[in-house]
Amino acid sequence: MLTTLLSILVVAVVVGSSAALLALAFGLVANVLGETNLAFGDAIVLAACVAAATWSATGRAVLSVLAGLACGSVTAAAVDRLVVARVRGRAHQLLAIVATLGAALVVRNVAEAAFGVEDRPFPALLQGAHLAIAGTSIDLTLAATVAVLLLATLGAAVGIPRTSWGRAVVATRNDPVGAQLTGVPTTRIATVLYGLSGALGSVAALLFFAHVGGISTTQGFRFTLTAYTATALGGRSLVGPVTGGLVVGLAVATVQVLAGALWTLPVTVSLLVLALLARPQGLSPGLLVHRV
Amino acid sequence: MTSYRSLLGASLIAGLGLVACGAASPSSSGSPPQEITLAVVGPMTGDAAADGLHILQGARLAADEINARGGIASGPYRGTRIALQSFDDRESVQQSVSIARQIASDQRYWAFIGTGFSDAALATAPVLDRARIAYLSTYASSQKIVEARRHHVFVVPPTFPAYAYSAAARARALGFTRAALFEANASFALQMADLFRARFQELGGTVVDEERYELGDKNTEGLVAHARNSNPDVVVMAGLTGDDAAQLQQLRRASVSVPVLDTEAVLFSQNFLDIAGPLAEGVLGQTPSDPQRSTPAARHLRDAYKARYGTDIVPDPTAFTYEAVLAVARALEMGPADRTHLADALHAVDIPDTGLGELHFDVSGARLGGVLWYFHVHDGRFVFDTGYRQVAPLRVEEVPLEH
Repeated sequence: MLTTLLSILVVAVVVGSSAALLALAFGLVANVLGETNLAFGDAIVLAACVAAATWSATGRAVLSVLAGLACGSVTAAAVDRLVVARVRGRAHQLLAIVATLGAALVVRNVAEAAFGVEDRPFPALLQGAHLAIAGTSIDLTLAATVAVLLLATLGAAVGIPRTSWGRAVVATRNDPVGAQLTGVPTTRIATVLYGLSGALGSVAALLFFAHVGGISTTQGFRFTLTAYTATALGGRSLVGPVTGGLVVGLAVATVQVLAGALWTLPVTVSLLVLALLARPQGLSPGLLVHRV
Repeated sequence: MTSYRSLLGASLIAGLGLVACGAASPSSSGSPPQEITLAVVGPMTGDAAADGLHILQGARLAADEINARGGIASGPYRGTRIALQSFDDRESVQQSVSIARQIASDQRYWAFIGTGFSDAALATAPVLDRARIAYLSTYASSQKIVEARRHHVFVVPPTFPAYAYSAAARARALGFTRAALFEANASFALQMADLFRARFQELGGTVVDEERYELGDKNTEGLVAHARNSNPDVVVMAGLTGDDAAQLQQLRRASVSVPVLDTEAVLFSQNFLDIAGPLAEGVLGQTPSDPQRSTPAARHLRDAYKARYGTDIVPDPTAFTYEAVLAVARALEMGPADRTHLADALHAVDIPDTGLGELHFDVSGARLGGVLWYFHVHDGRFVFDTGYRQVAPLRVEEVPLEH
């Protein structure tokens, strides 16, 4: 019994921290701009492919990570500039969502054309010891994921209320029209947020693929679904996506250890539906409404 | 007199029909056709595009060899060249069926060769059989494809029972009695898992745990934790390379050190060794093409593949499609009157060694005599240990290596 509980706990932390980081990145666009970027997952998979290719060509970890982050950031920003910005503000919000779905397919096809369709090795960016616990394990990628998660959350908590750029973001979030009228560059802010989302999401993707040891261009949809579910569950506060990610992790871990891995996807989707029906404001609805 | 007239009428109609349809047949023109076209079908785009590419490579390799030797070697089609036309079924059952209908209605095509997964093959087989067009499946290998005993349907690889039964026999031969079965939630993997479970239990083993997961899901840490509690002495995998490699990593990190055995012949690749790295050590697997097999035909196939594609590890779909085109060429030497009679000749084909081994089909269209070679990974290399030959649809026998 104790072993089972320990297994659930460790798997919950492993899956949950990754989901939380993905959600934090996804939430930068979803929670601030109120937009759903379905190309999120495929953009960060493309970034991971670029990082892996850079590693193969140079063998340099830092350069590979930077190349990946740059690619994720630029791809996500391009999705905003080339697709979303053109339909933003139109009556049907669905239009923007469908547009990002189209962008997701384009990005995935680019990744497949450039890097192939087969699973390929991904470099062990953080080589080191791992600790086996109750049929599971923790390793340096987990430690790095938790560290990045804490730093990003802290950065947002400190940076948003205390910098002029952060206050402009909050203004854009609370009243985009009013913010624009008062000279806040809302269009640029949106593009920067997409870019930041892509960069942070790329970190999550790199750590995920480094953890599993291989990279697959079909993983993008799973990233988007996980991030979307965690964000919807967590709500629009700063810590909301983190809370949502950890809840997803705990649910997935419990189901996998007790009932089997086949239930991972149904449970994730059920959580999403439950969140949208029962608590559309999420578990932590507040924040991001500061006086500016 | 009446019967003579009927016969004459029927002959005229048949002759006119053949001429009108442009069918390539020596009886319609008195001389052999310049070329005979084969439809090569597979997922040329999408998730399984690599399989489609490999199918096409095999067809080209064989057709080019045959044509370089002057076409069909003997019989009424002597000198006829083999032409290929590729079709992309996009890994879709509907698309595969649609292509089958197109080929059935176009007299230019003599055979349908290829397809990726068994679902598409199962849907396509009855369409082609009704149209009396020879269908040679060169990657899909579910025994269900041939269970219906359709005269025009052939499966070139060993069928699923060969893979699963030999894996069960190998596991028992190595002394394993408690298997944990990791199976992807996909038709091919579930069928393989069912067959393995049944045979392993018949042989005195026990499947102590079964873990099913969505194809492509790498987040399966909990699966390993769950399986570990059942204390298996071997983990048997029925999935694809990337998922198997991810699960192997998770097993080893969790200090589950029992051997891993592949039932799908997907771990025999450099890609797997690259993904798994040192963790591949000790992994047990199977492949229909032993790269160390030393017969002249085996060396010829490897050399021909290496000359064109740079490596002598011939992918399974390539090897089987290569065999299929050789079989069609050999069948054409027997002089089938037209494409609807090609299957009759294919049933009589008997090639002693294609490079993979002997090739002939039983009455159901299943290939008999196919061998699965078993290896273990040692120092980052595949080391071959033994083989299992499919001697009947549901029976395998251990055979020595042919090095």
